[in-house]
Amino acid sequence: MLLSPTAGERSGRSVDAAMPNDDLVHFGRPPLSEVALSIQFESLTAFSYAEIGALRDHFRSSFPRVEYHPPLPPAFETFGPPSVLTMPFPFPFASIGGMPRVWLIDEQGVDVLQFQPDRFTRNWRKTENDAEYPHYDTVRSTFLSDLHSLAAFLEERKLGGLVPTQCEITYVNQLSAPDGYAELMGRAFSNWRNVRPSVLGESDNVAFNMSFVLSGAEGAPVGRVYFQATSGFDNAGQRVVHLMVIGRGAPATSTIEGAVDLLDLAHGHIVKSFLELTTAEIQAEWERRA
Amino acid sequence: MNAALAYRDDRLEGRGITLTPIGDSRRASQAQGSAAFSNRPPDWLSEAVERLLTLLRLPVGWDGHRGNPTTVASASYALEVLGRIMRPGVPLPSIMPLSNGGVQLEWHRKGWDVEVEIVGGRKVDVFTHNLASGEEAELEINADLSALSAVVEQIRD
Repeated sequence: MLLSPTAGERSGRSVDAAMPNDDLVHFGRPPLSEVALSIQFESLTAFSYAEIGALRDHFRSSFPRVEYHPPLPPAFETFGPPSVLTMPFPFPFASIGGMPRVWLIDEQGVDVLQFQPDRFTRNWRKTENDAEYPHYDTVRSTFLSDLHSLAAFLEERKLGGLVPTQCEITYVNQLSAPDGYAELMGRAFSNWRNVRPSVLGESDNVAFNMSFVLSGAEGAPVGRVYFQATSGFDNAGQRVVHLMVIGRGAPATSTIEGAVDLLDLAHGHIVKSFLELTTAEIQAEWERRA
Repeated sequence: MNAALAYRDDRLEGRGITLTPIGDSRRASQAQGSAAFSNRPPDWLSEAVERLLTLLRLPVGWDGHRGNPTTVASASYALEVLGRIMRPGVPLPSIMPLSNGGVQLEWHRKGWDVEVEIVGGRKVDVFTHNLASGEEAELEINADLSALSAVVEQIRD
Protein backbone atom coordinates (compact mmCIF):
# COMPACT_ATOMS: atom_id res chain seq x y z
CA MET A 1 0.00 0.00 0.00
CA LEU A 2 0.99 3.64 -0.26
CA LEU A 3 3.26 2.41 -2.90
CA SER A 4 4.16 3.84 -6.18
CA PRO A 5 7.02 4.51 -8.50
CA THR A 6 8.98 7.63 -7.75
CA ALA A 7 8.33 10.43 -10.17
CA GLY A 8 11.28 9.55 -12.33
CA GLU A 9 10.87 5.81 -12.39
CA ARG A 10 7.21 5.15 -13.09
CA SER A 11 8.07 2.64 -15.73
CA GLY A 12 10.40 0.74 -13.41
CA ARG A 13 9.64 -1.91 -10.82
CA SER A 14 10.36 0.07 -7.68
CA VAL A 15 7.45 1.60 -5.81
CA ASP A 16 7.44 3.93 -2.86
CA ALA A 17 5.35 5.69 -0.29
CA ALA A 18 6.22 9.24 0.49
CA MET A 19 4.90 12.59 1.50
CA PRO A 20 6.83 15.72 2.25
CA ASN A 21 8.54 15.24 5.62
CA ASP A 22 7.97 11.49 5.54
CA ASP A 23 10.67 8.93 5.17
CA LEU A 24 10.58 7.19 1.83
CA VAL A 25 9.44 3.59 1.92
CA HIS A 26 9.92 1.43 -1.14
CA PHE A 27 8.17 -1.84 -1.90
CA GLY A 28 8.85 -3.93 -4.96
CA ARG A 29 5.74 -6.13 -4.56
CA PRO A 30 3.14 -4.12 -2.68
CA PRO A 31 -0.21 -5.71 -1.68
CA LEU A 32 -2.27 -2.65 -2.63
CA SER A 33 -5.29 -3.26 -4.84
CA GLU A 34 -7.20 0.01 -4.53
CA VAL A 35 -7.01 3.57 -3.23
CA ALA A 36 -9.77 6.17 -2.95
CA LEU A 37 -9.78 9.84 -1.99
CA SER A 38 -13.14 11.22 -0.98
CA ILE A 39 -14.75 14.41 0.20
CA GLN A 40 -18.12 14.75 1.89
CA PHE A 41 -19.81 18.13 1.71
CA GLU A 42 -23.02 19.94 2.53
CA SER A 43 -25.83 18.58 0.39
CA LEU A 44 -26.30 20.24 -2.97
CA THR A 45 -30.05 20.64 -2.63
CA ALA A 46 -30.39 22.15 -6.10
CA PHE A 47 -28.83 19.11 -7.77
CA SER A 48 -31.62 17.11 -9.39
CA TYR A 49 -31.98 14.09 -11.65
CA ALA A 50 -31.96 16.44 -14.62
CA GLU A 51 -28.37 17.42 -13.86
CA ILE A 52 -26.98 13.91 -14.04
CA GLY A 53 -26.82 13.97 -17.84
CA ALA A 54 -24.97 17.27 -17.80
CA LEU A 55 -22.55 15.90 -15.21
CA ARG A 56 -21.91 12.89 -17.43
CA ASP A 57 -21.22 15.15 -20.38
CA HIS A 58 -18.85 17.25 -18.29
CA PHE A 59 -16.61 14.27 -17.49
CA ARG A 60 -17.40 12.11 -20.54
CA SER A 61 -14.11 12.60 -22.39
CA SER A 62 -12.13 10.93 -19.60
CA PHE A 63 -14.88 8.82 -18.04
CA PRO A 64 -17.15 7.51 -20.80
CA ARG A 65 -18.79 4.68 -18.87
CA VAL A 66 -21.51 5.13 -16.28
CA GLU A 67 -23.18 3.06 -13.59
CA TYR A 68 -25.75 3.90 -10.93
CA HIS A 69 -25.65 2.67 -7.34
CA PRO A 70 -27.43 3.42 -4.06
CA PRO A 71 -26.06 6.47 -2.25
CA LEU A 72 -23.75 6.13 0.71
CA PRO A 73 -24.91 7.45 4.08
CA PRO A 74 -22.98 10.37 5.57
CA ALA A 75 -20.20 9.45 7.99
CA PHE A 76 -18.86 11.70 10.73
CA GLU A 77 -16.03 11.44 13.18
CA THR A 78 -16.99 12.89 16.56
CA PHE A 79 -15.34 12.81 19.97
CA GLY A 80 -16.19 13.16 23.61
CA PRO A 81 -18.26 10.78 25.70
CA PRO A 82 -18.56 7.26 24.29
CA SER A 83 -21.44 6.89 21.86
CA VAL A 84 -24.22 4.50 22.77
CA LEU A 85 -24.72 3.80 19.08
CA THR A 86 -21.87 1.36 18.80
CA MET A 87 -23.77 -1.56 17.39
CA PRO A 88 -24.06 -1.96 13.62
CA PHE A 89 -26.84 0.51 12.89
CA PRO A 90 -28.50 0.73 9.49
CA PHE A 91 -28.88 4.46 8.99
CA PRO A 92 -32.15 4.83 7.09
CA PHE A 93 -31.47 8.27 5.72
CA ALA A 94 -29.19 7.84 2.72
CA SER A 95 -31.86 6.96 0.19
CA ILE A 96 -34.13 9.87 1.06
CA GLY A 97 -34.64 11.96 -2.03
CA GLY A 98 -33.84 9.01 -4.23
CA MET A 99 -30.74 10.46 -5.84
CA PRO A 100 -28.35 7.71 -6.91
CA ARG A 101 -24.60 7.55 -6.56
CA VAL A 102 -23.20 7.94 -10.08
CA TRP A 103 -20.07 6.09 -11.08
CA LEU A 104 -18.17 7.58 -14.00
CA ILE A 105 -15.58 5.09 -15.20
CA ASP A 106 -12.64 5.46 -17.55
CA GLU A 107 -12.23 3.25 -20.61
CA GLN A 108 -9.83 0.85 -18.91
CA GLY A 109 -11.86 0.62 -15.72
CA VAL A 110 -8.89 1.78 -13.64
CA ASP A 111 -10.07 5.22 -12.51
CA VAL A 112 -13.57 5.87 -11.22
CA LEU A 113 -15.36 9.02 -10.11
CA GLN A 114 -18.23 8.56 -7.67
CA PHE A 115 -20.69 11.40 -7.21
CA GLN A 116 -23.79 11.92 -5.11
CA PRO A 117 -25.13 15.29 -3.97
CA ASP A 118 -23.10 15.23 -0.74
CA ARG A 119 -20.02 13.24 -1.71
CA PHE A 120 -17.31 13.02 -4.36
CA THR A 121 -14.80 10.18 -4.57
CA ARG A 122 -12.02 9.27 -6.95
CA ASN A 123 -10.86 5.64 -6.99
CA TRP A 124 -7.81 4.04 -8.52
CA ARG A 125 -7.91 0.28 -8.68
CA LYS A 126 -5.55 -2.41 -9.74
CA THR A 127 -7.09 -4.23 -12.64
CA GLU A 128 -4.06 -6.17 -13.78
CA ASN A 129 -1.70 -8.10 -11.56
CA ASP A 130 1.35 -6.19 -12.72
CA ALA A 131 -0.26 -2.74 -12.60
CA GLU A 132 1.61 -0.26 -10.46
CA TYR A 133 -0.02 2.18 -8.09
CA PRO A 134 0.67 5.78 -9.01
CA HIS A 135 2.43 7.88 -6.40
CA TYR A 136 0.25 9.53 -3.73
CA ASP A 137 1.19 12.88 -5.21
CA THR A 138 -0.33 11.74 -8.51
CA VAL A 139 -3.49 10.36 -6.93
CA ARG A 140 -3.85 13.57 -4.95
CA SER A 141 -3.25 15.72 -8.01
CA THR A 142 -5.82 13.94 -10.19
CA PHE A 143 -8.35 13.97 -7.35
CA LEU A 144 -7.87 17.71 -6.90
CA SER A 145 -8.09 18.36 -10.61
CA ASP A 146 -11.39 16.50 -10.91
CA LEU A 147 -12.72 18.10 -7.73
CA HIS A 148 -12.00 21.58 -9.06
CA SER A 149 -13.61 20.55 -12.34
CA LEU A 150 -16.71 19.47 -10.41
CA ALA A 151 -16.75 22.77 -8.53
CA ALA A 152 -16.59 24.67 -11.84
CA PHE A 153 -19.46 22.58 -13.23
CA LEU A 154 -21.59 23.30 -10.17
CA GLU A 155 -20.85 27.00 -10.32
CA GLU A 156 -21.58 27.22 -14.04
CA ARG A 157 -24.97 25.58 -13.54
CA LYS A 158 -25.69 27.51 -10.34
CA LEU A 159 -26.00 24.35 -8.26
CA GLY A 160 -24.13 25.62 -5.23
CA GLY A 161 -20.61 25.51 -3.85
CA LEU A 162 -18.66 22.71 -2.23
CA VAL A 163 -18.57 23.09 1.56
CA PRO A 164 -16.51 20.15 2.86
CA THR A 165 -17.56 18.52 6.14
CA GLN A 166 -15.45 15.34 6.15
CA CYS A 167 -12.81 13.81 3.94
CA GLU A 168 -11.46 10.33 3.64
CA ILE A 169 -8.56 8.32 2.23
CA THR A 170 -8.99 4.58 1.78
CA TYR A 171 -6.46 1.87 0.95
CA VAL A 172 -7.39 -1.71 0.20
CA ASN A 173 -4.72 -4.40 0.37
CA GLN A 174 -4.97 -8.06 -0.46
CA LEU A 175 -2.69 -10.47 1.38
CA SER A 176 -2.39 -14.03 0.21
CA ALA A 177 -2.86 -16.74 2.87
CA PRO A 178 -1.76 -20.03 1.28
CA ASP A 179 -0.93 -21.62 4.65
CA GLY A 180 -4.11 -20.51 6.39
CA TYR A 181 -5.47 -17.30 7.83
CA ALA A 182 -3.96 -17.67 11.28
CA GLU A 183 -0.50 -18.30 9.86
CA LEU A 184 -0.72 -15.17 7.72
CA MET A 185 -2.10 -13.00 10.52
CA GLY A 186 0.73 -13.98 12.84
CA ARG A 187 3.30 -13.45 10.13
CA ALA A 188 1.90 -10.14 8.81
CA PHE A 189 0.61 -8.16 11.78
CA SER A 190 2.69 -7.07 14.73
CA ASN A 191 -0.39 -6.86 16.97
CA TRP A 192 -1.48 -10.45 16.32
CA ARG A 193 -0.29 -13.31 18.53
CA ASN A 194 -1.09 -16.73 17.23
CA VAL A 195 -2.22 -19.37 19.64
CA ARG A 196 -2.94 -22.94 18.62
CA PRO A 197 -5.76 -24.27 20.78
CA SER A 198 -5.83 -28.03 20.65
CA VAL A 199 -9.61 -28.29 20.93
CA LEU A 200 -10.63 -25.54 18.51
CA GLY A 201 -8.05 -26.21 15.85
CA GLU A 202 -7.34 -23.61 13.25
CA SER A 203 -9.77 -20.74 12.80
CA ASP A 204 -11.60 -20.68 9.49
CA ASN A 205 -12.44 -16.99 9.76
CA VAL A 206 -10.33 -14.18 11.23
CA ALA A 207 -10.77 -10.43 11.52
CA PHE A 208 -9.74 -7.38 13.45
CA ASN A 209 -11.11 -3.87 13.49
CA MET A 210 -9.19 -1.10 15.19
CA SER A 211 -9.39 2.67 15.15
CA PHE A 212 -7.00 5.34 16.34
CA VAL A 213 -7.54 9.04 16.92
CA LEU A 214 -5.96 11.36 14.40
CA SER A 215 -4.83 14.62 16.00
CA GLY A 216 -4.41 17.97 14.32
CA ALA A 217 -1.55 20.41 14.58
CA GLU A 218 -2.61 21.64 18.02
CA GLY A 219 -3.23 18.17 19.39
CA ALA A 220 -7.01 18.32 19.18
CA PRO A 221 -8.75 15.26 17.70
CA VAL A 222 -9.72 15.81 14.08
CA GLY A 223 -10.41 12.30 12.81
CA ARG A 224 -9.64 8.63 13.02
CA VAL A 225 -7.57 6.01 11.24
CA TYR A 226 -9.19 2.59 10.89
CA PHE A 227 -7.50 -0.74 10.25
CA GLN A 228 -9.85 -3.54 9.28
CA ALA A 229 -8.65 -7.02 8.39
CA THR A 230 -11.08 -9.68 7.19
CA SER A 231 -10.51 -13.14 5.80
CA GLY A 232 -12.03 -14.32 2.56
CA PHE A 233 -11.21 -15.73 -0.84
CA ASP A 234 -9.98 -14.22 -4.06
CA ASN A 235 -11.70 -14.91 -7.34
CA ALA A 236 -9.52 -17.93 -7.93
CA GLY A 237 -10.81 -19.41 -4.68
CA GLN A 238 -7.55 -18.89 -2.81
CA ARG A 239 -7.52 -17.74 0.79
CA VAL A 240 -6.72 -14.05 1.29
CA VAL A 241 -6.95 -11.45 4.02
CA HIS A 242 -8.17 -8.03 3.02
CA LEU A 243 -6.69 -5.15 4.93
CA MET A 244 -8.58 -1.90 4.57
CA VAL A 245 -7.00 1.25 5.97
CA ILE A 246 -9.14 4.35 6.20
CA GLY A 247 -8.30 7.84 7.42
CA ARG A 248 -11.28 10.13 7.91
CA GLY A 249 -11.89 13.45 9.60
CA ALA A 250 -13.16 16.98 9.49
CA PRO A 251 -11.10 19.63 7.72
CA ALA A 252 -9.98 22.60 9.81
CA THR A 253 -11.67 24.91 7.33
CA SER A 254 -14.68 24.14 5.15
CA THR A 255 -12.71 24.63 1.96
CA ILE A 256 -11.13 22.37 -0.61
CA GLU A 257 -7.72 23.44 0.68
CA GLY A 258 -8.73 22.47 4.20
CA ALA A 259 -9.94 19.10 2.98
CA VAL A 260 -6.68 18.40 1.16
CA ASP A 261 -4.69 19.35 4.27
CA LEU A 262 -6.67 16.75 6.22
CA LEU A 263 -6.06 14.12 3.52
CA ASP A 264 -2.33 14.84 3.67
CA LEU A 265 -2.36 14.56 7.45
CA ALA A 266 -4.22 11.24 7.28
CA HIS A 267 -1.91 9.93 4.57
CA GLY A 268 1.22 10.75 6.57
CA HIS A 269 -0.24 9.06 9.64
CA ILE A 270 -1.24 5.98 7.67
CA VAL A 271 2.22 5.61 6.12
CA LYS A 272 3.84 5.48 9.54
CA SER A 273 1.21 3.39 11.27
CA PHE A 274 1.12 0.86 8.42
CA LEU A 275 4.81 0.23 8.94
CA GLU A 276 4.23 -0.16 12.68
CA LEU A 277 1.32 -2.53 12.29
CA THR A 278 2.95 -4.86 9.77
CA THR A 279 5.95 -7.04 10.56
CA ALA A 280 9.43 -6.78 9.12
CA GLU A 281 8.91 -10.30 7.78
CA ILE A 282 5.93 -9.43 5.61
CA GLN A 283 7.52 -6.15 4.59
CA ALA A 284 10.50 -8.18 3.37
CA GLU A 285 8.09 -10.31 1.30
CA TRP A 286 6.78 -7.10 -0.22
CA GLU A 287 10.40 -6.23 -0.98
CA ARG A 288 10.68 -3.20 1.24
CA ARG A 289 13.68 -1.03 0.54
CA ALA A 290 14.41 1.66 3.11
CA MET B 1 -17.71 3.01 10.13
CA ASN B 2 -18.33 3.25 6.49
CA ALA B 3 -16.11 1.15 4.31
CA ALA B 4 -18.35 1.24 1.29
CA LEU B 5 -16.19 3.55 -0.74
CA ALA B 6 -14.18 0.64 -1.95
CA TYR B 7 -14.93 -0.10 -5.56
CA ARG B 8 -16.80 -3.24 -6.45
CA ASP B 9 -16.89 -4.70 -9.90
CA ASP B 10 -17.79 -8.31 -10.57
CA ARG B 11 -16.52 -8.00 -14.12
CA LEU B 12 -12.99 -8.24 -12.80
CA GLU B 13 -13.59 -11.80 -11.77
CA GLY B 14 -11.32 -14.20 -13.54
CA ARG B 15 -8.35 -11.86 -13.48
CA GLY B 16 -7.29 -13.16 -10.09
CA ILE B 17 -7.98 -9.84 -8.40
CA THR B 18 -10.49 -9.33 -5.66
CA LEU B 19 -11.44 -5.71 -5.11
CA THR B 20 -14.15 -6.18 -2.57
CA PRO B 21 -12.94 -6.65 1.01
CA ILE B 22 -15.94 -8.67 1.92
CA GLY B 23 -14.27 -11.26 4.07
CA ASP B 24 -16.70 -14.07 4.57
CA SER B 25 -19.76 -11.90 4.86
CA ARG B 26 -22.17 -14.79 5.17
CA ARG B 27 -20.63 -16.09 8.35
CA ALA B 28 -20.07 -12.59 9.70
CA SER B 29 -23.73 -11.74 9.26
CA GLN B 30 -24.74 -14.91 11.03
CA ALA B 31 -22.71 -13.85 14.05
CA GLN B 32 -24.04 -10.30 13.97
CA GLY B 33 -27.58 -11.58 13.61
CA SER B 34 -27.55 -13.01 17.11
CA ALA B 35 -30.70 -12.24 19.08
CA ALA B 36 -28.71 -11.56 22.26
CA PHE B 37 -30.18 -8.66 24.22
CA SER B 38 -26.78 -7.08 24.72
CA ASN B 39 -27.12 -5.94 21.10
CA ARG B 40 -30.34 -4.06 21.82
CA PRO B 41 -30.27 -0.39 20.73
CA PRO B 42 -31.16 2.35 23.22
CA ASP B 43 -34.87 2.90 23.89
CA TRP B 44 -34.93 6.40 22.42
CA LEU B 45 -33.44 5.43 19.07
CA SER B 46 -36.59 4.35 17.21
CA GLU B 47 -38.48 7.48 18.18
CA ALA B 48 -35.57 9.70 17.15
CA VAL B 49 -35.24 7.98 13.78
CA GLU B 50 -38.98 8.21 13.12
CA ARG B 51 -38.98 11.90 13.92
CA LEU B 52 -35.98 12.60 11.70
CA LEU B 53 -37.52 10.63 8.86
CA THR B 54 -40.57 12.87 9.13
CA LEU B 55 -38.40 15.97 8.89
CA LEU B 56 -36.55 14.58 5.87
CA ARG B 57 -39.86 14.25 4.04
CA LEU B 58 -41.04 17.80 4.64
CA PRO B 59 -41.96 19.65 1.43
CA VAL B 60 -40.11 22.75 0.35
CA GLY B 61 -41.95 25.69 1.91
CA TRP B 62 -43.11 23.64 4.91
CA ASP B 63 -42.88 26.76 7.09
CA GLY B 64 -45.13 28.85 4.87
CA HIS B 65 -42.12 30.55 3.33
CA ARG B 66 -39.22 28.93 1.50
CA GLY B 67 -38.18 26.51 4.21
CA ASN B 68 -36.10 23.53 3.05
CA PRO B 69 -36.66 19.97 4.26
CA THR B 70 -34.08 18.66 6.67
CA THR B 71 -30.98 17.43 4.86
CA VAL B 72 -29.63 13.90 5.16
CA ALA B 73 -26.40 15.32 6.57
CA SER B 74 -28.22 17.25 9.30
CA ALA B 75 -30.37 14.26 10.25
CA SER B 76 -27.41 11.90 10.33
CA TYR B 77 -25.28 14.30 12.34
CA ALA B 78 -28.16 14.85 14.78
CA LEU B 79 -28.27 11.12 15.39
CA GLU B 80 -24.50 11.06 15.84
CA VAL B 81 -24.79 13.88 18.41
CA LEU B 82 -27.60 12.11 20.26
CA GLY B 83 -25.54 8.94 20.41
CA ARG B 84 -22.79 10.84 22.21
CA ILE B 85 -24.91 12.83 24.67
CA MET B 86 -27.95 10.70 25.50
CA ARG B 87 -27.66 8.93 28.84
CA PRO B 88 -30.11 7.27 31.24
CA GLY B 89 -32.16 10.01 32.89
CA VAL B 90 -32.03 12.29 29.86
CA PRO B 91 -35.29 12.24 27.89
CA LEU B 92 -35.27 12.49 24.13
CA PRO B 93 -35.38 16.19 23.21
CA SER B 94 -37.95 17.78 20.94
CA ILE B 95 -36.56 17.45 17.43
CA MET B 96 -37.58 20.40 15.27
CA PRO B 97 -36.82 21.37 11.66
CA LEU B 98 -34.98 24.55 10.74
CA SER B 99 -35.79 26.41 7.56
CA ASN B 100 -32.18 26.12 6.37
CA GLY B 101 -32.34 22.32 6.33
CA GLY B 102 -30.95 21.91 9.82
CA VAL B 103 -32.31 20.31 12.97
CA GLN B 104 -32.93 21.82 16.40
CA LEU B 105 -32.89 19.73 19.57
CA GLU B 106 -34.68 21.27 22.55
CA TRP B 107 -34.98 20.47 26.24
CA HIS B 108 -36.97 22.58 28.68
CA ARG B 109 -36.57 20.98 32.08
CA LYS B 110 -34.99 21.26 35.50
CA GLY B 111 -34.96 25.03 35.25
CA TRP B 112 -33.02 25.08 31.99
CA ASP B 113 -33.74 25.82 28.36
CA VAL B 114 -31.22 24.03 26.16
CA GLU B 115 -31.34 24.44 22.39
CA VAL B 116 -28.94 22.70 20.04
CA GLU B 117 -28.84 23.81 16.42
CA ILE B 118 -27.34 21.37 13.92
CA VAL B 119 -26.84 22.49 10.36
CA GLY B 120 -25.30 20.09 7.90
CA GLY B 121 -22.55 17.80 8.96
CA ARG B 122 -20.29 20.10 10.86
CA LYS B 123 -21.69 22.99 12.84
CA VAL B 124 -23.37 22.63 16.24
CA ASP B 125 -24.51 25.75 18.08
CA VAL B 126 -25.74 25.46 21.65
CA PHE B 127 -27.83 27.99 23.54
CA THR B 128 -28.55 27.62 27.26
CA HIS B 129 -30.77 29.68 29.56
CA ASN B 130 -30.98 29.18 33.31
CA LEU B 131 -34.49 30.27 34.25
CA ALA B 132 -33.64 30.95 37.90
CA SER B 133 -30.57 33.11 37.40
CA GLY B 134 -31.41 34.41 33.97
CA GLU B 135 -27.92 33.43 32.86
CA GLU B 136 -27.56 32.76 29.15
CA ALA B 137 -24.68 31.17 27.29
CA GLU B 138 -23.83 30.25 23.71
CA LEU B 139 -21.38 27.59 22.57
CA GLU B 140 -20.11 26.71 19.12
CA ILE B 141 -19.03 23.08 18.97
CA ASN B 142 -17.29 21.08 16.29
CA ALA B 143 -16.26 17.44 16.43
CA ASP B 144 -15.59 17.24 20.18
CA LEU B 145 -18.98 17.01 21.90
CA SER B 146 -17.66 16.97 25.48
CA ALA B 147 -18.89 20.50 26.24
CA LEU B 148 -22.39 19.69 25.01
CA SER B 149 -22.42 16.53 27.08
CA ALA B 150 -21.59 18.61 30.16
CA VAL B 151 -24.54 20.89 29.40
CA VAL B 152 -26.89 17.93 29.10
CA GLU B 153 -25.68 16.56 32.44
CA GLN B 154 -27.37 19.55 34.07
CA ILE B 155 -30.81 18.45 32.92
CA ARG B 156 -30.36 14.78 33.72
CA ASP B 157 -32.63 13.17 36.35
